[in-house]
Amino acid sequence: MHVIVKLFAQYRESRFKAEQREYDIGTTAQTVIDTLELESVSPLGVLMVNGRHVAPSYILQEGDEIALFPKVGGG
Amino acid sequence: MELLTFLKEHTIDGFLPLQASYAAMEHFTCNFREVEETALKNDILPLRYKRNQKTISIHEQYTLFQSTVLIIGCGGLGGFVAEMLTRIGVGNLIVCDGDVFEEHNLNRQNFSSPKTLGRFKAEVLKENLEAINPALHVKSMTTFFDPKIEANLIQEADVVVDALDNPDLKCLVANLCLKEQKPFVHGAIAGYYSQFSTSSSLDQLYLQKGDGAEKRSGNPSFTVCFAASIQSTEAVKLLLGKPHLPSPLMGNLWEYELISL
Repeated sequence: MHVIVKLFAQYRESRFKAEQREYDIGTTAQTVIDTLELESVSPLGVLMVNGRHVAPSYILQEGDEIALFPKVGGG
Repeated sequence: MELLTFLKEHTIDGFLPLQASYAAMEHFTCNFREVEETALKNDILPLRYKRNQKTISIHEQYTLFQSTVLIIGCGGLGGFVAEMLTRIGVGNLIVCDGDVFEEHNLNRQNFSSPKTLGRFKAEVLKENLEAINPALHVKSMTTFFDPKIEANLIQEADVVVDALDNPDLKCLVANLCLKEQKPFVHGAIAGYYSQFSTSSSLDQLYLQKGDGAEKRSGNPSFTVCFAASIQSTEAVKLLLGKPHLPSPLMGNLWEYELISL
């Protein structure tokens, strides 16, 4: 199935800004995070699918747009 | 002659200059804060607020003067938020941080300098803010904010500003403010990036445990000042009952984007 993956902030470095990617049916948001090795950069801060906040266990659907933001905690 | 009459007679082009305030203090044996309060309460604008006037009405200026903001954390964000709120005319600040200035703070933290290294940030802030505006009242707390012990500080404030650098504590303070129905301004930075939210839970901004991206990307001065500006704007809007951020915001100074989350 096709999923549009959007990355933000440090997650874009050496990756991409937005890409349409192929995933198996039943793929979770966490699998997308794992395959892109995002947690090697920073823990996940924000996860949205189609503009709504969801949990990493969310099962992606054909045509979904997933947005991933690293955790930002400095003061 | 009454203080008010004196002040009215000593305005210049409708504004009260510093020299007139000092003269009033001497003449009426009162402090600077009493002079400024009497002026603002009676629609006399101290000259220091002349360039606020087209943005903030004199009535709003008096509202700010009577307001109290609790700033938790006096590092990067807290130091600049405190100065901006002082200059705009907030009358009471509570600044809280158990940390002292260290050399690696010099790249970004307001009022850090070789002379203030080793000193409590909250104390240095108080001295500098009260020097900027002697009418300001600053309570400095040189302990780390403990939600269990210092929940009463939240009660004292009209608005709470999160200038902490610890995501877990940020979430705790946000939840405490929500429970107390206290307006709350969150801000955080990492490298070129920042995030904000006003009076909402931070659970959706901090999905996973662990250190944030700032451990990898650092805390540059321009991102600190940008984030502190947005937090200060939100604090003032809340104090004046203006519309504020309806949903979290992510700031990107690398590609100049502002994204609503």
